[in-house]
Amino acid sequence: MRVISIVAGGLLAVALAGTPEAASAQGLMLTGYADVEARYAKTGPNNSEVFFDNYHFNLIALGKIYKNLFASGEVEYEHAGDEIMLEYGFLSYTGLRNVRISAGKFIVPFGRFNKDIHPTWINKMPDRPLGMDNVFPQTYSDVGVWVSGAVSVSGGTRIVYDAFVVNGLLGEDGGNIRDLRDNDQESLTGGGRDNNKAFGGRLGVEVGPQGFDLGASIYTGNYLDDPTQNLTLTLFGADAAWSHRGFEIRAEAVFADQGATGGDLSKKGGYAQAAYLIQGRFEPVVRFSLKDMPGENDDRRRFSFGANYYVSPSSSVRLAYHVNMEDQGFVANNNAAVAQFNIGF
Amino acid sequence: MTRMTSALLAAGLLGLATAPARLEAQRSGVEIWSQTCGRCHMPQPAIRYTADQWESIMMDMAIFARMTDDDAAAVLEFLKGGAKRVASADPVPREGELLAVLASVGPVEIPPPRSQDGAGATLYAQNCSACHGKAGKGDGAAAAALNPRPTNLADSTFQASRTDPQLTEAITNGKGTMPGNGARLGQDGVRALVAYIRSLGNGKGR
Repeated sequence: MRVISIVAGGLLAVALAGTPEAASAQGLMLTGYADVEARYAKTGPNNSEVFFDNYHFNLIALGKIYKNLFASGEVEYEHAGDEIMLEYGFLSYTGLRNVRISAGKFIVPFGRFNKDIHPTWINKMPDRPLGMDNVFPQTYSDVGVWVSGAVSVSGGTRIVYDAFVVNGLLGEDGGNIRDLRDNDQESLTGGGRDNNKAFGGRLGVEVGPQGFDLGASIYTGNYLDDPTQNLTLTLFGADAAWSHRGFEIRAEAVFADQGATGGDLSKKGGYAQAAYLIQGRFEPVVRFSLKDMPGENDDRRRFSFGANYYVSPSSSVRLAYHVNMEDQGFVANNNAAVAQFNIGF
Repeated sequence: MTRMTSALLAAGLLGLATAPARLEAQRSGVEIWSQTCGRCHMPQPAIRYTADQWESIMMDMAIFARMTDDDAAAVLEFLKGGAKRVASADPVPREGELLAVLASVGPVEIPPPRSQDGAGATLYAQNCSACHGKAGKGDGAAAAALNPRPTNLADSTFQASRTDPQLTEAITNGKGTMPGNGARLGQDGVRALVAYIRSLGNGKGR
């Protein structure tokens, strides 16, 4: 898989970049984001660990390759490991008014965190919230077709939409949802390929002058990697945000209805977050997030406290402390402190 | 939720995708820039990228941020006004060069109608107030997310420290993170804006 990913990423980079002269003439550009962090985490009553992490070094190539044809791809290199993946790589046709038709591998437009908020230079905390992993498997990208756009309904208010059809999450009966996103090409060609596609989308409203943003999302599809059986995973999402003069409140919830031969599983997760930007530089952040995972003995609540300092509009130093609470009550054994520098470039 | 219900919802989304545009927003590029970009991250200053790069970025953002064609075009026009210039291909004087030219030809007469000029007020509301605020105090809706903060145009020290040609230069070609607006507003528009900005400082400028 690693070799395939590297080759795919290389081909995409070559296809998008071409010669420097061509790239310049077509407005193609190379961008991306990166972060480095130091993390202290309790691992037991008397144990802890401190380590450095190069969480992301992701390169993004994007540009107009013809009048109404746009290409974008992100090569993902995470945790300084030996795996390079293609997070997304798609072509978009933009010739229809207010409609974009994209095909390829794209980040599935479910909620806000998965598609819009997850890059570390955008996410106001160095970590993803609980629920945005085992209930919705962020960052989840898949291969298929995606239609998106917006319609203005009055001054500053937009109805926004995303609709998609993808190959879908794939895995074992009742399996952890995060593991279902590993629906890579090897799995699909190794017997997991079937005719069942997953589909869904997001419908939202943005009230520009007032800073409101509301949306509802759905994803549904057969997830079992045995094409002779049918078990459906349906995800419902709701998101809301309000921002005004540096103050931002954001919340997102996701509910999973996962079919399983041993009985359907209901899982839920989400977060609420508040931040206030002071003088364009300093930003205190608080977040509460949770995940309820019946049958997996992994329910958790987390309070996170953060302080950000923006070096520039696209780079910051983030300090955060996570207080974890589990089923049996307050557990300090896995609390963590993180210091991160990130930059979008 | 049954598969059929899900299918109906998806069909509805697809139907909306093909709906005709209605009542397109009549907002300025700077307003849309501050409100749309600020939904996820701090709005990036126009001077960070070239005009070509902004064109690519705005195609990307129109997809990711789900913008209407008109909104994306308005933001692109705004950003191109202050885009980083490629020296060899740019016939427009860079910041400071215009001042040098003006200085070389002696005092420049800028029509000084220091009143609440209607055109200036309208242009200010459309192009400046999102960042500089309605009263010019640097406290517009987008100001909180801007780094550095927009200039307080009503401040008497600022007013006294800037000449009309300097204001003309800044509005025309941009200054710092502020894009230039000369190409869009034309000379008359820039003059009207200078006059209106002077009125914010109660005529204390030079």
